[in-house]
Amino acid sequence: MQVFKAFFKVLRTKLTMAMIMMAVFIFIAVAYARTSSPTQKAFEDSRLNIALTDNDDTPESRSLIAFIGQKHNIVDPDPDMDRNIDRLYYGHLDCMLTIKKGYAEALKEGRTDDLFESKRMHDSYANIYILSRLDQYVGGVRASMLSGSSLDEAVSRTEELLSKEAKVSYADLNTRDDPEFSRTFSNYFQYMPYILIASVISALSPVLMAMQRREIRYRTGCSCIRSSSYFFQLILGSTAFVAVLWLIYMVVGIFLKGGMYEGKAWFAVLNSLVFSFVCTAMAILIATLTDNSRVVSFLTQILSLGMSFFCGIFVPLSIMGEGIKKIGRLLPAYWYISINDMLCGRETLESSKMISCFVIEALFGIVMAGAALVISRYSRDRI
Amino acid sequence: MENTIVKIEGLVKRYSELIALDHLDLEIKEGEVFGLLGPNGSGKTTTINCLLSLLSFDKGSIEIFGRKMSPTAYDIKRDIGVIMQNVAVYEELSVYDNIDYFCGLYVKDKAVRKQYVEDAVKFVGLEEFLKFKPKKLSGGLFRRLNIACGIAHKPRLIILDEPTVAVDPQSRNKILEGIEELNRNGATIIYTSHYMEEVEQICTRIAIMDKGKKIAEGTKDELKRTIKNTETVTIEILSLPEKVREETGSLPHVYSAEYDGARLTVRCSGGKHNLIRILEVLQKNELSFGRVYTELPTLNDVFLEITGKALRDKED
Repeated sequence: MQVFKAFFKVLRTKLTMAMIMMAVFIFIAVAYARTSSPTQKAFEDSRLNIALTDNDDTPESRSLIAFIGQKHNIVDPDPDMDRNIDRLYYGHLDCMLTIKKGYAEALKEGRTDDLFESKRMHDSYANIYILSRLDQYVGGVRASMLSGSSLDEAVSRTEELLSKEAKVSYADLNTRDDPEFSRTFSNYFQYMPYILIASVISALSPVLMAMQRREIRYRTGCSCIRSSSYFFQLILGSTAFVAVLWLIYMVVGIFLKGGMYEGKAWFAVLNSLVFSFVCTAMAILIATLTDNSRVVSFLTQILSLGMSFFCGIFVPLSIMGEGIKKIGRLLPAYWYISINDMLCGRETLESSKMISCFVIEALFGIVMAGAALVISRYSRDRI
Repeated sequence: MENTIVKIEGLVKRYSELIALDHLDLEIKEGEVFGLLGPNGSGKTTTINCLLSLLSFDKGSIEIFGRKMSPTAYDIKRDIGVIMQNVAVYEELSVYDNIDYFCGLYVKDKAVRKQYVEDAVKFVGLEEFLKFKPKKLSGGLFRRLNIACGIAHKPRLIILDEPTVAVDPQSRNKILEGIEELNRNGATIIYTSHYMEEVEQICTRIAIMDKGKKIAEGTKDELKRTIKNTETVTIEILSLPEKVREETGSLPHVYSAEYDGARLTVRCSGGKHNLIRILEVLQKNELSFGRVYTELPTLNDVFLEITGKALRDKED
């Protein structure tokens, strides 16, 4: 196992970048887990600033002012109209509203038009919103009065009617609070492909390049070690390294979860194991294609960031365009994320679909490993 | 009679239209330091690559230690040490780890290997640099590390492919002395180079190659006897009339007299008192001259006479 031992000696000199990446990732994952707060579940309407003038000054107009005050901030208008216009312009006021004299009388007579006067900035949505609410209010009061209610009853009924709000809920892009696969925990697995690609390629490819250098290959070809044994030991070394890296991530996962994996979480573990194999194959393929460390560094960035953006690692697949998803399907990380989405509840969990994703993901690894073997064989013959 | 260690018969290697080796025959006996001499591109390295089964060939046969050589002849490879022109060591490993690694490709037993590595370190004089990374070594030490990696497993046959390229004279001498010592210890050496001085210094038998063919073979004395040049006289002279040059050229035993504007070069074949006769011609014509020196024929003269061109490129 001379080659295997040499592999790890060379690896020791190339580990710095991978270790830094791993440390940063684990630090961020732990910090995120410790500081994450429950998702906000409620919201409140924006309160508009309305300068209101009541020229009617009747109980009805005061009821209306009280109704408006429930949802918005009522401020006194400045006696100087120019200053009010300035306040509107600078956004300190959303609109100026005047309840015209005769408002109460008009309501009693069943008239709902020309009751208010407003000033606003051009195209202000706030003014439209307020006038729409006032229309609803006076329309409601008028309808109640026509049905025989007194003004007081009509006002209170309308207020009650308009106080009802549409039920609004947030679209939860994270996960349900599943004890087997919680939100924090699924995020840890969500970002894992990025760090796996970056750390495996940045550490493994330079080692394999060093061990496959032309002179070394030539010298090894002269020795009495079989080329199959040499290649086998390199693969074994690569696999052992990635297995150790993966195990570290899994142990950190146990700490983040606060206990041993259970249920669905084991599928996430299996998913990350398959993806680690894909990364290993990718690193071996890169090392057989180039012997330039700058090219490896460039490819590491392109592959890790490219897959992260195209395959839903940084941006959830559910909000990505179909065009981007089409590109993503050509990359292994897409299938990893698809499995992760099913496990954390973003997608419906279907066993047949999940198995397909696993198979496709593994196929990427097999194809890349096969290509690396063929290219390596070809380059060995070209000594 | 010594055993034949390497036997190459009718070796032909083609790279599409180019014939790299053209029916090459070589026989190397046990205990020899066999020199393969030739200019760049003459086929020396191709011969070595075919010999080591790193390259397939189109025709011919290769036997090493009396057995047919093939890519899977690991029992033969076990007794061959290779030192290449391009240094093949891991930049990431220390001097000791490098030697141990390459020795370990041949020797499985840990205790034996440890001893072998220590012997190799001592042999090349790298005891003080065991923990150094190759990049920290000087050019000469770097080459010595390359040699240690090639010989640590104590091979019977050592192939050195231009091991002194880009090495300072002091390190070159040390390397050549080392090769002679390896030979004294029983190893058969194949040494390729385009430095004729090195080949003359250490090789007991030499094959000269050009354009994939062996154009001459023998000991250095045998090779020199095959040419008519026995002595070259060079005289520094500022001005030489043509008739004096012709007169010099017509002296007995002189077969060539050339003047390049600064030096008169006279090549003689056999005979005695050649220098005296040439100087008498110059004195008779009242020509003053500077330094005068004579040289015995070199392998370059052998190559020059056989091929009509110099062995080494000007930049070498």
